[in-house]
Amino acid sequence: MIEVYVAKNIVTMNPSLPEATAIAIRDGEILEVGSLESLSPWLIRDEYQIIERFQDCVIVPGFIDPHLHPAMAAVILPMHFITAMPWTLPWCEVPASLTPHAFDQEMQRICAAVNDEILIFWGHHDLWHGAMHRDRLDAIDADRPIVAWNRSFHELHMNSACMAQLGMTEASISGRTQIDFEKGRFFENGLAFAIQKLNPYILSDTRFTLGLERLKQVVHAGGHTTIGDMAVGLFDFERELATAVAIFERDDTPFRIEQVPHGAVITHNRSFEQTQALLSDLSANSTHRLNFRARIKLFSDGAFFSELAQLLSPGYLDGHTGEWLTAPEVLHEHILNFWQAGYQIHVHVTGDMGVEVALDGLAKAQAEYPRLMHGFTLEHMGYATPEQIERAKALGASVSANIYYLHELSGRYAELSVGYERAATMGRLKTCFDAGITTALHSDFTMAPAQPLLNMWVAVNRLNAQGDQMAPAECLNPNQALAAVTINAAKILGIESFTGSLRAGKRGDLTVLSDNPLTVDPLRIRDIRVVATVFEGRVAPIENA
Amino acid sequence: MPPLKTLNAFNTSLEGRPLTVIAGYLGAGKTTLINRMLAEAEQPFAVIVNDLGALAVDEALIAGQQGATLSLTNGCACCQISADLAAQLARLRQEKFSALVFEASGVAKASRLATLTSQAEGYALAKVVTLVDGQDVPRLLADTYLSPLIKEQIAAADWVLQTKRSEGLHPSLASLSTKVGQLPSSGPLPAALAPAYRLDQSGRLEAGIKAPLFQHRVIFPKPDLAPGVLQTFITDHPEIERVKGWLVGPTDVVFVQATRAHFQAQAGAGAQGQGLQFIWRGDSELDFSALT
Repeated sequence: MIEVYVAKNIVTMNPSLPEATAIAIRDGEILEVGSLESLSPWLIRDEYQIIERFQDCVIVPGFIDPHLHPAMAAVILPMHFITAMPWTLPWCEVPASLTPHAFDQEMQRICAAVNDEILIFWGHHDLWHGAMHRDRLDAIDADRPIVAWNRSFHELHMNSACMAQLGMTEASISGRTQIDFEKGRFFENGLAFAIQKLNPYILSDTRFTLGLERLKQVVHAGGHTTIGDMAVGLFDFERELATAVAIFERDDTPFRIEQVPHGAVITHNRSFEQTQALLSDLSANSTHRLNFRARIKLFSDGAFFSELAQLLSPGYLDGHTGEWLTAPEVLHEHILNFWQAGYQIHVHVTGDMGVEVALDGLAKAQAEYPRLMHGFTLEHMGYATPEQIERAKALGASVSANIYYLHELSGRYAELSVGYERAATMGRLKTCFDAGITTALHSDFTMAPAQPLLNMWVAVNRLNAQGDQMAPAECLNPNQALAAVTINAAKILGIESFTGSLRAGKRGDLTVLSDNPLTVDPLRIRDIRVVATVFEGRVAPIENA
Repeated sequence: MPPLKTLNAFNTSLEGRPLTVIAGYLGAGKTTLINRMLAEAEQPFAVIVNDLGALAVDEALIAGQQGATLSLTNGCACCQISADLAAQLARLRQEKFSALVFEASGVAKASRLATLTSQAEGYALAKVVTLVDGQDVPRLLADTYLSPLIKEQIAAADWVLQTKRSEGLHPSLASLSTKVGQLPSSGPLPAALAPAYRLDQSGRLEAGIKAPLFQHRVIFPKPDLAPGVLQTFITDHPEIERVKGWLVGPTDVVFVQATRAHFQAQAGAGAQGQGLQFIWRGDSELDFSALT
């Protein structure tokens, strides 16, 4: 049976035939993209059914987010969101809470509605919600343990009942840095102490499973048909693997997960031969939706949100320096090992010095053992110079960028971190496209919302949270932005042979939208609704769409 | 579904067992030093290795495998959501190790380790010791990628020890810190490292290693000194904590290892060295004339 979807418009991302109005799918495979008329040679030879439910919609290739972290999402998604920005979560609408009073009211409402062992609220932000304090949480409920986690994730407050339940006393806390007992405040390194105490709770099987179930909904609601887990083993390799199979390898999961192992974890205590044997084994035992392939994730410099990106001169405004996650020479050795074994290598790079070290490694590898179409990818790439982008092109590298940095951080970083020029040019994506580099967008969820249309909107408009347009010369056009969440993202994961665009022979992975992102007012791209997805020919409608 | 790593998050005792951080870039000699510390230690101590990014995994090289490895993958606090650190500290607390030595990853900043380890429940940060390869230091300080890190590791340490260079402190090291010393390439370790993990007789910890509570000296005993004389000397001087070295007899060399509780003289150990190392408590001198 052939299923033929008709739509107002089908954007194929296949440059030879960029637009269509009908698409025929049989057994999960695209037979042809064209019009009802052009499809007739297929339709006269087999039974078919015309599906009209999306005839007023626009169909694009199924969205691909090549870099997010399900395990991290599983920790945060079971928390109760109380945020300054409204969030549309598949299981609830989170209203905007813009005042301290509104925040407290939300806490009270949730407190009355649920009976969690420890109530964890996420999203507190001083600017909107006022200073948090232990007493303030005690006033919400003095008997139930409550945690108010900051939007930044780098700080939390607890009420007295929570501190008591976790066995924290003034004596056990005294002398520790970045903890304020009086206020119940734990931040940065102090947060690590609080997390040690909360770990058994936030990583419990029940919550972790709930978190992954919710992630499944988030991924679907974003319109994805493929995501990349870009560091399997972030918390616990075996556990992540086992839970992923249990929760995602089911008929009701309308997407696949491309799994890329955390290089430092997978090579730990193993010779390279042993690592390779393990990875071959994992690839061979991949299931239908969960796939390991010859891919590896490596790390160069520190976290972007923590201002630990390694910067070339002139560095940070305050003179602090970033951090290496891997010693440069060790990174180079890892790169060379995996390079010679034919792997697609993904390197986490946030600052331009991090980029430089990764490109040095790639240059050495190319000199020693030249490869074409190798898919070496710079992941995140917050800061990079135009010259580095040219070098990346010459060496054959690709870019998978977190463009949300620009929206969330560029205003603040201009004032407080790196100055205007470098803040404005973070996510230098037009330069990448002009150089001919395969360039994709990702959310790094939970670092940014897992909403490809939102990321496209940022890449096209380059508006930061304060509403200022940053370096308009780096704006992508809508077609480039759509490529960055479809065909280019597929190339980043090395799966472009079967998904990422709509053409005969690829899998029937589609995203159905309420409007056309290529023709709508660019400022409205993020308002386009995701109506449904089709994963390998099976429709998965999105509720409330 | 595999079970969650068991945690004992509700153990709140803060006993303050000393935690020593050994920092330094790759090849500085951290693992070698820890192996020497293990060889000299009388009380077992735990080692935690944080080298997740490294290729030649130091953990495998740590003698006796007393420790554990954990990953502190980057400086971002939200990445601390991992069962590892809490679980390992909890386990080590159960096993009643007298002390903990933390081998930092080669790229860890010393200052951050100091703040981070100050959160380790049941342990009190005693000292951050940074090792620097005295041969390699000019290259490291000239390296664009590494120079800020190396300088930070030196500046933020309580104590900097030069390794792998015998011809005195490298001038650039001396100019970066006033707290620089030389790690002897063989023989007993500086006393300030050794006592960090020793319990006193009542089972209580000594006062950590921040204060210079111990002195050490190598003496050359007179020929034919009988082991019994040395043993008596140790008994008569209760401040002596440790003696290790060789007695040269008429026909043989005797290897001696002694602590307050324990005296061992082993003949036929071969002429591997000479001299006796003494470590004693307090700041008064010892009179060795009975032995030399």
